[in-house]
Amino acid sequence: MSENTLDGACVEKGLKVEDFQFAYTSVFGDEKFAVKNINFQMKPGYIYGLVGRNGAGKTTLIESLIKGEYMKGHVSLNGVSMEDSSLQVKENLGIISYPAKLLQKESLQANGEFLGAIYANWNQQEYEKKLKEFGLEKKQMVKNLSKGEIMKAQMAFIWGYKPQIIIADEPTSGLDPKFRKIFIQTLQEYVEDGEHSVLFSTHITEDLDQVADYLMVLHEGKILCNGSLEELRDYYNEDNFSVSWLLRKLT
Amino acid sequence: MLDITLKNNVERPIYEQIMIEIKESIISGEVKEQEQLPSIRTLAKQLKISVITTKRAYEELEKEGLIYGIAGKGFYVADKNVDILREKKVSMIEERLQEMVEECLDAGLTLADIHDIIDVIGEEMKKDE
Repeated sequence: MSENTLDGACVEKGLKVEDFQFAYTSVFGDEKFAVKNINFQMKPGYIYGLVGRNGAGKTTLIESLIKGEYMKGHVSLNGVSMEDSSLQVKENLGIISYPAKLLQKESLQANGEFLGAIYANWNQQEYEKKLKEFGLEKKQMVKNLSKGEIMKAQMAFIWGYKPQIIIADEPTSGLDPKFRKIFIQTLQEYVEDGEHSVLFSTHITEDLDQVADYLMVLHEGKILCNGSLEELRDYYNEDNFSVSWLLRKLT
Repeated sequence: MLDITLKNNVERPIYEQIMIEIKESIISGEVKEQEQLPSIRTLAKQLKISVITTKRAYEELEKEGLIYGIAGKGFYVADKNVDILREKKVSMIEERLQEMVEECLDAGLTLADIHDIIDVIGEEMKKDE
């Protein structure tokens, strides 16, 4: 069967990151690169895993990507560049991270009403429906939520406007094992239509073993390897192959 | 209807496990010739595995001529190969049975004994169902 059926007819669709780098100035005044020479593409319909040891630059990469704060490079979504139309790109990104960009002193319901207003296609009912499904009360105050509940709330928020891309930084930390499974299944549902995709950064590599289509290994701010898990498994031809094995092998 | 369960403890790539399960479903007649298989994305979600892994299983089965894909529609069970597959399976079983029978005869059992043993096993399996 042709690639088109899986990837959509339009080749340009998806997120494209080219020659991306993010640097900061150290206390001694010199420039340090947190991430450098980052190139990758996210096609609609797939789950992308991002792994690396602590300090590899995963969170820096994700944060600078989301905020559009980078010194060099090019980020575009469906051919629209982030520099030209940051809003248009950001509208199509859904973020799951901790701490979350939620209003601490407000209820979950109010968070949806205030923050959702930014999005043209915001659907408060869908958001509240998902909250309920995840066992959250819309009257709950954000400041009283546990870490796991914050992750659930952000996932529900994403359901309110269905962005094309979910960027999730350690989304399963703080979740109990049972809900972790449900959560990952929810991500699979999200990409099932072939229109949406997920960037899933995690140190819990088992979360990626079965569901990730593509994997990126980040080490010292650079991408060491980037490919489909099936290709990587074939390439290393190792009985014990897993994401964790690969990470140990490469870093 | 295709009904696949993956065994997590098996040290065999998941795509191969899917291939085996689908082959068995074809042999047993659980999925019929010309029947449409679930879409790659549906099966991936159902089995909680990646889209690319599922796609690979289908593509390998297609290479073996057991299923065929129609662009934009999905994958279907090919008909001409089902009999060949079944024959292969039967001859594989025959080989294994031959080894077993040889072992039984070596151990001093008669053919009648072997028949009895098989009958007992068969009865027990019926009960379990």
